Amino acid sequence: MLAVWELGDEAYGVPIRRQAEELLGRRLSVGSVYVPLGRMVEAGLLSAEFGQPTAVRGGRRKRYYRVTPKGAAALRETRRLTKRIWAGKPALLQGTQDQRK
Amino acid sequence: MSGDLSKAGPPGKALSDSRWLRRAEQLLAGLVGAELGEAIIGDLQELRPTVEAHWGKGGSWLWLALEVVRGAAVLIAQRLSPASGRRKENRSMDNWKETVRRAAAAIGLIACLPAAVLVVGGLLQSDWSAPAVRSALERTLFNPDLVGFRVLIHPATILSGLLLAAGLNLIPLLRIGLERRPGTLVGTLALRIRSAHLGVAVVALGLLGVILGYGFTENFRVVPTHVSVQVSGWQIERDLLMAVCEEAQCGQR
Repeated sequence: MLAVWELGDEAYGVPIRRQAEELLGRRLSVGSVYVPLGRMVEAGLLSAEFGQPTAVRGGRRKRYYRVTPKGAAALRETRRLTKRIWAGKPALLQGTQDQRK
Repeated sequence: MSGDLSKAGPPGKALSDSRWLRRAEQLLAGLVGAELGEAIIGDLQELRPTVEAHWGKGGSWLWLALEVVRGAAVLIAQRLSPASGRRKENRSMDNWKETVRRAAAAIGLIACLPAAVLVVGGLLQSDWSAPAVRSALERTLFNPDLVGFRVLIHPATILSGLLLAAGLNLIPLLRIGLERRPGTLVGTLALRIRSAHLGVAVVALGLLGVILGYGFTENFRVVPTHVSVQVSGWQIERDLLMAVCEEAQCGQR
């Protein structure tokens, strides 16, 4: 959802997949991108609509995703919660808790 | 939303598609719907030139094929996962697309045909039927020399057809769930009323019942303890033989 938010009007399969691969640091299949996107559309966090067909895609249309107000609220809430959870906690160093001591 | 409209082609028409790519799109459309299938294949088509620059044309098509297989596997796994069922439980009790469900009902109906032909043929061959009908059936359906009919009413064809029909049409009707709750495992069975699937499943199971019932009653017989013994061309019943033997022994005494 963060990738969709960041891409704005250019959020469709190819850049979303690229962005998600960068964020997660691993390769993703096409299906593994569309499955969570579909779930988020079902949940009302994202909306989806088709663009125009393009020659570079063999005459097929792009499916554009956009963060809905509900999705934006969920993103804000996630960010707020993460900040709150980590507030005042000691910084995580590399390695285990024992090494920190 | 702004699209890449500068090189727009005619809607829905693939410009450089192979037949294989259209098949792949149909496969994905069957799994996730036509619109999402179009988007996925479009993404792969868009990325293919980049891959082609590194791996050549053959390599790019191989990559595309593997991506379709991977994508299909992910989508199938997602659909079959129990978590997916729980998520969609409130929305829809099954996640087969309408076209897939129609195809399942049609295939099920076709798979029932050999069994239906056998049952109807068997009924028409009974004593109350017209001699001309019986004779026609013996010349065609029940003629062991005609391979086509022999295969059609072979038990393997009939049973596999009925099981296929029942299986394909019970899947959209039934949902079996297993859920682990603290200290126990809960099983649930939900039935959705879909007339086409229900009709085909009832026909398939009904025919299976008729055929198995007929097979059972025809072959289930009380075997008499009465044994016949064949002695140099003469059929002598055991009781009579025993009586003769006893008589002979008495005579000797």
